[in-house]
Parts: sequence; structure tokens; C-alpha cells
Amino acid sequence: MIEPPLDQVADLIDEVLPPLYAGSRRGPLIAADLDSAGCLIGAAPSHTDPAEVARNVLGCRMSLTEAATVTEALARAGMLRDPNSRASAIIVLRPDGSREQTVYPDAANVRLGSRIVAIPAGQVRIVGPVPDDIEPERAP
Amino acid sequence: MTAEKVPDWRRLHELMLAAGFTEAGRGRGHVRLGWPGSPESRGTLVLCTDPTAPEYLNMLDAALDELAAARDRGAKARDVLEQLRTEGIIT
Repeated sequence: MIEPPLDQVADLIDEVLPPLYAGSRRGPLIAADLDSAGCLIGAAPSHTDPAEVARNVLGCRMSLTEAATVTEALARAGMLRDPNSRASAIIVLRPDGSREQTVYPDAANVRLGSRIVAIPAGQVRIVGPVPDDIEPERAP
Repeated sequence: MTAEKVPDWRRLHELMLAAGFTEAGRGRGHVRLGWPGSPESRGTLVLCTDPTAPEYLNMLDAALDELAAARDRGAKARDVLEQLRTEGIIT
């Protein structure tokens, strides 16, 4: 499971913000917006151009030119989701509310107890709630 | 919610940890706190730890707003549960 590096993203944003925002600490808020929009590494592949979405999200807080500059810095640092990734993922929701995410490099058939769940490349399946004693495993 | 006297972020941080919030992350000028009982990586509440930042007061106010909203939701949930208990639907 890849956790978006929110704190590193926040710090980087504060570093690369245009001079107009010198000394700003809005990085963590913007990082949270980018995370919610699914732009950061580790996010489910729900849109094809994470950089474009990031530019739009950032553009709500600064000019589009500035947003493009910040997006480029994030992309260079490898913090945006790879648009070419074909990774698929299964998210298992537990009765206690916890969640477990397993990422597969491509399409996968996952055995979940007695069920086989097919996950096309680049998609995410959310399964649950399932009993605690059932573990997802890749089907043979 | 606008604080009449804006609390020092350290005091707010201390009270939240004592109440069961967990530290989910820390960067330059901020700390992220996870809600008690929730996964640490999601829905965290951000405290600005740099009093010289232009957003300092706004971010503290925003954190207080989030706490107040959670308090109001909790109060409404409690009212519903108490009513169900009064009607004997739950024990």
C-alpha cells in the first residue's frame, strides 16, 4: 500500500509557492486538496491526467500560471500519480471501519474467501464489509 | 468559530493528544492530527505551528471550526440515541 507523502508534498508546495506567498504555510491544506482529488502517488487511477487535475486544484488558490509552476515541481519530485500506471487495487473494508488496500501491477483476479473478484487494469474495487478472517489473495 | 483569544497551537496540540487524537504527520510549519479511532492517514486535522505564517490565525480558526462541527454532530447523534433509548428501542 502506498500512502501519499502528504507532509513532504506540503513542504514542497510551501517551498515552490510564488514569491507573492512568501512565508506561507498553506502547503498542508493544498496537499490535502490534491490528495482528495486523487492526484498524488498512491491514489486510485480515477482520471487519466493527474497533472491537469492538480493544475485545476491549485488554480483555485493561485493563478493558473503559478499553478502550472507548482504542478511541474510536484511532477519533477515524483509526487504526482503516474498517468501511465496500469496498477489496479482492491480495498477491503473491515467491519471495524478499517481498510486494507492491496495494489497489483496490472489486471488481477483476486480470491476473497470463496469469491473471485476481477479487477481490470487501472481500476479499483472496493469490497466489504467482510469478516475479519477473510484475507484477499490473488487467484491462481 | 472565531476564538476570542487564539490559543497557542502547542496548548491545542497538547489538549488534542490528551483527548485521543494521534499525530499522523509533521512537516515544516505544520502538524497533522488523526481523529480518535480513525485511520491516521485520512481526514486529518492540520495545525499550523508557525506563528509567523500569514495563515496562522486562519488555520487555527479552521481547526477550531472542525472541532466545533464534530461536537455538534456528536450532540445530534447522542440526542437520537437517547430518544431511541427512551422509547425502549435500544437499551
